[in-house]
Amino acid sequence: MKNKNFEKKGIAQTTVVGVILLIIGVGILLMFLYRIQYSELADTEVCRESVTLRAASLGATYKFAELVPLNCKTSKICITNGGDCKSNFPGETILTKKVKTSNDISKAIADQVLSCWDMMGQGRMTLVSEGLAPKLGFGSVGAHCTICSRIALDKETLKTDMDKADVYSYMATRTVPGKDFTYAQYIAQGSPTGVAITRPEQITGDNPNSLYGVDKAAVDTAIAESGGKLTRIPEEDKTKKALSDIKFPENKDPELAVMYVQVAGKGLRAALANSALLAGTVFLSPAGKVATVAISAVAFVVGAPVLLVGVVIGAIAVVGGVSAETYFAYRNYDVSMGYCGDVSFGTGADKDFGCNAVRIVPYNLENLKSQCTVIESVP
Amino acid sequence: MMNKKGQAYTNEELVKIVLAVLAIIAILIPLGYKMYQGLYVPQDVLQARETVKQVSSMVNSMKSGTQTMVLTGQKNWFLYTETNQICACDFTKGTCDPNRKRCLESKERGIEIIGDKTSPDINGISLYLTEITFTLTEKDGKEIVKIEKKSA
Repeated sequence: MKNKNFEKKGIAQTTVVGVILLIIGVGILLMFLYRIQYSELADTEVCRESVTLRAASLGATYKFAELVPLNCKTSKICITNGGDCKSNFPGETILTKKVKTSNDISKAIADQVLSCWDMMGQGRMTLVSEGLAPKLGFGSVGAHCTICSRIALDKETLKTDMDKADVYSYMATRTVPGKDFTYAQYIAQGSPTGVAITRPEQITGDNPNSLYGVDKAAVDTAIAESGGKLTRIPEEDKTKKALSDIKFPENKDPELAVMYVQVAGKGLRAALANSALLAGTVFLSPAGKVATVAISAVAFVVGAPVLLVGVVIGAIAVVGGVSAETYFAYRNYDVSMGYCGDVSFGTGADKDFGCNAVRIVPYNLENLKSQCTVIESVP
Repeated sequence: MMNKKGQAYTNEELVKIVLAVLAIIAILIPLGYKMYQGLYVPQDVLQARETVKQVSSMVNSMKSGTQTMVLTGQKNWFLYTETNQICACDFTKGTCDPNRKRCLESKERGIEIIGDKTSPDINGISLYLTEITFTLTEKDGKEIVKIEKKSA
């Protein structure tokens, strides 16, 4: 009898200790979660996860994609030499980047471009669902934008350094911290030249390094074979404006938006869904003629020696010459060209493609309206 | 029916099994669904919630004159006021869907929204790619922030 009582007491004590340890453990976990909840890293990771999930659900069936929200919150960045940019972001969490030179400004912006490109899947993930756009009232295809960050440049403390910043040159010449390749090489998947094109086998896994290494010879051959459909992007065509030329609200600092734009043409969608079929395939054009091989292109847009506005950098995935196209494919192409033509291949390009691009534009309604039909980020 | 030992289940064991199955069906599955519903926030609702928060911040923080803000929500969502609350709601079905509505009270200042006349049955402003202006004024000794669509 006595022994049984002792046993019961022992069990009760063990249970109490267990419960106390559990409560302490949960407390530590909650403290940890609370600490990381609002960090920039947490936001980035949450976005990255949602991008992966959206792409995966699109892979399964296009209808599921709309159930998977992109949980990407726009970061508010203040580039300054002592200010706070509060007039631009009242009551919001602002990430301040203290800079001293124009080079520092370029680096801060280049880092945001790179981060956006990485976060959104480096142009390799299809995030646009054909079912989503009509539900939102945008027809069968549209440019889906995710504003990764809004960057305010504190004009009081930066003064003339703002206009001296040259993001393009910085990205073309400086290496990514801790790596031995430049920002441009990283984004252009290894090719800092105007337009880099890979053959289909290079994007479908036959060459394990294909997603990272673009074969320059293959680029030249593809351009030659395309019969003028593919060209390198002419530098002189790009918009060149200094920040001082742009009108911003007087009571605010100049502000840029770093945004990821994706337009899915029908061909791109189909090609991505059936990428295994791409390797070594020759596609037929609607007229039944043998078209050029399917092409994936990555474009790196060359800019002016000032902080380039309009298009700073872009990357495009193009699949052309896909068979059995319809009127809608043409329409989609038109839309794609409208939004991505500035980083693509001119009017003679193949008719059906999608594109992925990271753009830096002055943050205002006009630019958002001209670039995007849907904005998917959380403001 | 036999248990692992090859013996027939006792009545007590059977009752326990039935209760366990019922508990799973009646409690755990609905609980799991509720948890999923609680965690899943549609993207347009997320956007609306954040927009309302930002508009409210602007209302409470502006010191004088006018300020502007670009709204980047989805189509059919509108910003309006409701007893000194700033609200955003989905009007896809013609009226506000109460499950897709987010509001935030403005304790410090009064709010007046001048609608853009596109909203179905409220005096609201579309959240879809719209620029709005905030103007701080005074009415009967109380600070009021007037919100309207910025004219082109």
